[in-house]
Amino acid sequence: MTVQISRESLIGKSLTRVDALEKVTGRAVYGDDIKMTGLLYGKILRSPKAHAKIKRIDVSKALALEGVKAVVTGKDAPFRGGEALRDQPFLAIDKVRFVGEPVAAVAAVDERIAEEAIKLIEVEYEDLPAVFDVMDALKPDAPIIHEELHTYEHIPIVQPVPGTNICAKFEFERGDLEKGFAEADVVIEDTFTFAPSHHGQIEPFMAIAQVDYNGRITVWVPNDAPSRLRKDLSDAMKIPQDRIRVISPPYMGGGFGGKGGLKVEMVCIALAMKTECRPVKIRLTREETFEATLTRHGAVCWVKMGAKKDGRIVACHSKLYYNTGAYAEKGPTVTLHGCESGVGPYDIPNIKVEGYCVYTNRPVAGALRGYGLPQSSWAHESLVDMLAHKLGLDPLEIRLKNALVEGSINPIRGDELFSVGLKECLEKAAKAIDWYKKRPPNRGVGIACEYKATKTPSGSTAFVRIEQDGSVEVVTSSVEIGQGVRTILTQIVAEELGASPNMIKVTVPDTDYTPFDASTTASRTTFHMGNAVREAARDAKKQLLELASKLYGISPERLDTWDGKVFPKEGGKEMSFREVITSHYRAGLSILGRGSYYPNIPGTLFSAHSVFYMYAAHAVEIEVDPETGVITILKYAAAHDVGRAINPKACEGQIEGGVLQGIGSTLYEEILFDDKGVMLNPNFRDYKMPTSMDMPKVIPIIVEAPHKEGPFGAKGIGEITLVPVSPAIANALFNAIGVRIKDLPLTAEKVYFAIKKQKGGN
Amino acid sequence: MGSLPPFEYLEPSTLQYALYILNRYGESASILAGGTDLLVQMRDGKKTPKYVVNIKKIPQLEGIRLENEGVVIGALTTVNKIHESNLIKEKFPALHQAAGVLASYQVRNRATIGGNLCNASPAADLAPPLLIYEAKLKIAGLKGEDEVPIKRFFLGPGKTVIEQGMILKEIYIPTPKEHTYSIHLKFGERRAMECAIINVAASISIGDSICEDAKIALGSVAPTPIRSENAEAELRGKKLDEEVIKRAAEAAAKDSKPISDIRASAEYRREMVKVFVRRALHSLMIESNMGNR
Repeated sequence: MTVQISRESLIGKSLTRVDALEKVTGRAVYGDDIKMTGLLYGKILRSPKAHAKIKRIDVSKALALEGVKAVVTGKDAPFRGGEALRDQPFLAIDKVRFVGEPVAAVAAVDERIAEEAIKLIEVEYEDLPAVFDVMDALKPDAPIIHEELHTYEHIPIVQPVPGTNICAKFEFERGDLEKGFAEADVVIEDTFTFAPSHHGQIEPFMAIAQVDYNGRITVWVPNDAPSRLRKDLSDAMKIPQDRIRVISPPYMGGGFGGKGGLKVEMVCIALAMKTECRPVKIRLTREETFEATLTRHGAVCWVKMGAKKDGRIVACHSKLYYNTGAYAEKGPTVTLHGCESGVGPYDIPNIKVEGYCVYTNRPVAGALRGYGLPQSSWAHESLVDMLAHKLGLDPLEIRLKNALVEGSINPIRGDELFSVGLKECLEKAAKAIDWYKKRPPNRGVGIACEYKATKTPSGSTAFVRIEQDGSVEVVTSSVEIGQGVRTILTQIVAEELGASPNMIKVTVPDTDYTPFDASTTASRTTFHMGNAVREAARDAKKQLLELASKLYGISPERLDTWDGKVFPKEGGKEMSFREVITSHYRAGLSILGRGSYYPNIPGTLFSAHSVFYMYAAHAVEIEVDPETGVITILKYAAAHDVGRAINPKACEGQIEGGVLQGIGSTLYEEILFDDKGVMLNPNFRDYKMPTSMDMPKVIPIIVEAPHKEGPFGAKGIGEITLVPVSPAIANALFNAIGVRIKDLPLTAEKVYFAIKKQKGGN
Repeated sequence: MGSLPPFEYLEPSTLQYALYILNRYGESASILAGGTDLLVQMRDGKKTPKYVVNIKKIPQLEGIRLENEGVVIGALTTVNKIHESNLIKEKFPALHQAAGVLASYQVRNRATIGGNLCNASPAADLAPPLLIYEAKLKIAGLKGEDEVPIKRFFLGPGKTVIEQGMILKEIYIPTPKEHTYSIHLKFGERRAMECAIINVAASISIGDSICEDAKIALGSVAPTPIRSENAEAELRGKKLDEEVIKRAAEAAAKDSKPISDIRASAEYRREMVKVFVRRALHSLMIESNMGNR
C-alpha cells in the first residue's frame, strides 16, 4: 500500500502548549509540592540594619529549643558566591550590607519551631553609615561597602575599582565623539531616572538541600540555570562540580531573571551540612521574596545627542549609573548589556558609552527581563523624542532615518549586522495605531524602539532519545520557566525527526543526567538549545534510517520520516519508529542522538558581540485625564523581529506579557524604602503590579528577518518585549499634553503635579 | 509574614452561643467572618487570637430583606451578594457601585459587609455609601441589642464602638425619599485589588428643582470614613449648577484631613476630593434633570 504523507511543516504553527492541561487543572508540580521523609524546615534571621558590623551572635537559646536540629551563621559556611564577581557570603560574615541579608538560620522539625527559634537568636550590631543613592555612593567621601573588593574573584570582563563602590565599569567608544558633536546642528542632553522594581513571580523562592553520607550535595530548586548553579556553588565552596547535583522541580512559577544565581540555595546548603543527611526545605514568604531576593536596578542615566538639521544623529554620549545594591549578583553584566544598547538601535558614527555598576546598601539588584535595557532605553528613547521635537521632526520619521538596517555597523561593538527587521517593526507598529491620525485634546501617541543582544558566547548540549516503543525524549537542561520552552523544543524536534508532537516529551533538568546548558536566560534558548536539539534530532534520525535501510534493503538516502513513521521516498510500506527499532533489536535498545551548539565567536563569557540581535518597536495611543493625572492606554502595538516564529501564539504571549509587565514599571511599580533602608511595600497589596483588569488592548505584531544560524531562522523574543514600554508611554504623554516626565514611574499623582506645574509656569 | 499561628477554632451555630463564647474568652477571641482581613492580620502577626470564632454558621446573620420602609442586610452577607442584589441596585445605587469595586471578584465572594465595617479601615469601600444613606447598625451583646447610627460607629483606624463580646448583627438602611439620586466613585490607580486613594459617595434629594437635601461622604481622607457637612451645607436649598457644585467640592476638600502615605500625598488626596466630589455631583445633577423631565 502506498501512503500519501502530507508533510505540512510544524514550524510557524501555533501548537497548544504541551503543558497547558497540567497547568490549568492544577496538577503541575512545583518546588514546594515536593515532600520527603525526614524533611526539616529552615527559617532565616535577617538583618534589620542596612549597614552594620556584627559584634556578637548568640545562638545558644535557639539551639536549645526542642525540635531545632541545626543553627548556622556566616562562620559555619565561610563561602562567597556570585556568577560575575564572588562577593556574596552564604550568610553575613562580620558585617551586614542591606536590610534583609541572612545573618543566621535554623533548621527544625517544622516551620513554626524554626520561626520561634530565629527569634531566640541574639545579634549585636554596631551601625555603620549607609549609602542608598547611586550618585551619593560615587562621592569620594561615601562609606565603602566592600573594603575587601580587591580580594574578590571575578570573570575577566568585570573590572572592579577597589577603594570605591564601583563594582564594575564598562566603556565603549567608536568614531570621534568631539568631532561628531562639533558637526551637529543641534545638541541636547538630559538625565533620566529609573525606579527599582520587582519581578513579582507568583511562586515565591524555595529550595531543598540534602548532603549525603559521602558529603555529596543535592539541591532541588526552581533555578533558571541548573548547570550554572552547579558551577557557581562549586566555585564558591571550592569543591568539584561532580560533588553537587541540581534537580529542577517539574515546574517553575515564573522567573523573569530573578530565579538565577545563588539565592535560597546558599542558606539551605549551609543548614543541610549540619543535619546529618536530613533534607532541609526553605520557602520564603512573599515579604522575604520582595526584600531579600532581587530587584531590578534603579538607575540614573545621562544622555547627550547631536544631530544634523535633517534629523541624522551624528554623535551620542551616555553615562549610565546602575544601583546594584549590596552585592554584585548579575549587576556587572546587566550594566554591560545596558551599555550595549546605550545609544539605541541607530546608525550613529560617533559614540561613547560609560556604564557604572555601583554598590549601595539597597537590596541586591540583578537580572529582570530586559537586563539593563529598560533603564538605558528609557533615557535615549526619551531623548530621541526630545530631539525630534527640537528639530520639528516627527518622532517616527527621526527613528526611521537613523534606524539600523541590514549591513549596518553595530554602533557599540562594531560588528556588521544581519537579520535586521527594525524598520519593518517601526512601520508596522506605527500603522497599527494609525500614527498620523489627528487626535482630540488630551490624546496622544508615542513610539520607541530598541535592539538587544544575547549573552555571547554560550553553549547548549542536548540528546534526543528514541525509545523502543517509538516515543521520543528530548534530554535537555533548559528550564520551563513559563515561557513555553517545552513546546518550542517539541516542535523543533518533531519537525526535524519526523515525529508527531504527542510522541515527544521534554525532560526536567537534573545535572546528573541532562547535559550542560549555559542558562535559560537572555532570550537564548530557542536559538541555542533549539539548534542543539535540532542537531540531536538529525543525528537520531540518521541512526534510525540506517536501521530502517537494512529492513527495507534500500539506502538510507532513499528513506524519510514523518509523523513517527519511516517510509521510502518513492512510496511503499511505512514502518513506525517502534517497528523499526523492535524489528532490528528484538530484545530492545534505545537510539541516542546528540547535538550541541556553540557560536563560532571567540571570547570569554559576555565578552563578544552578540550572535543575534532582537529588534522591536512599540507604538501606543493614550488618553490623559488632566484633572487626575491618570493615563489610560487606548491601543498598544508591539512589533518584534523574532527571526522566525516557531510558534506564533507563543511569541504573541511573550509580547502581551512583556507589555503588561512594562506597563507595571511605567505607571505603577516602584519599590519604596524608608530612610533606614527598610522596604515599605514588600507585598502585592502595596507594590502595585497591574492586574488582568488593567490589561489594555495589545496588538502583537511578528516581524520575521530570518537569522542564517538560527533554527529555521529563529532568534529570540522574551526579554526585549518590555524594554520600549516606558519611553513609548512617556513620549505619548508629551504628545498628548506637552508634559515631559524624566523620572519613572509615571504615577497619576506625578503626572497631575507635572501638569499643574506646567500650567502654573505659563 | 510567617505561617498562621496556632489557635483553637470554634464554630457556634447560634448568635446566643457565639456571644457566650466571645464573653467567656474576651480579648483572646477573634471573630472570623469572610476572613479576608483577619487571616492576613494573623499571618502578619498583628493579631494572635487564641480562639478564632467562625460566625458564618449562624443562619440569621446572612441575607437581604425588606423591612420597615427600608432594607436590612445581615452582617455576613457577602459583598458580591450585595452587588448582585437587584433590590440594592434599585434603591441604593451607591452601595451597589461600591460593592462592585471592592478588591477583586474573588475577594468579594468571601468578604462580608460586616467585616468591611468592623475592620474599620479609613478606606473601607462600603462605608461612604452607608454614611450617605444614614444606615443604622444593630449590635448584639449578651445584655441585648443596640442600634448605632453609622456616623457614630467608627472611632479611628481599626476602632469602632463595638466592644469585646459584641457582634455586629445587621445593617438597616432606610429607603431614601423620592427624587433622591446617589452615586459612589472610587479612585485608585489599578482597576482591581486597589485600596482607594480616595472614595466619594454623594446623594441629593430634589424637590421643585431645588436640592432639598444632600449628603456627601469621603473615604481614605481622615482617620475614619467621614461626612462632609460643609459641602452638604453648600448644596442644601440651592438649585444645582456648576458654580454651586464647585463650592461644595471645595468645601469637601477643606473638610478632609488626609495624610501622606505610600499610596498618595495629602495634597494630592485633597485635590482629588475636589475633582471627584465635583464629578459625583455633576453626574447626579444630570441624572436628576433627566429624572424630573
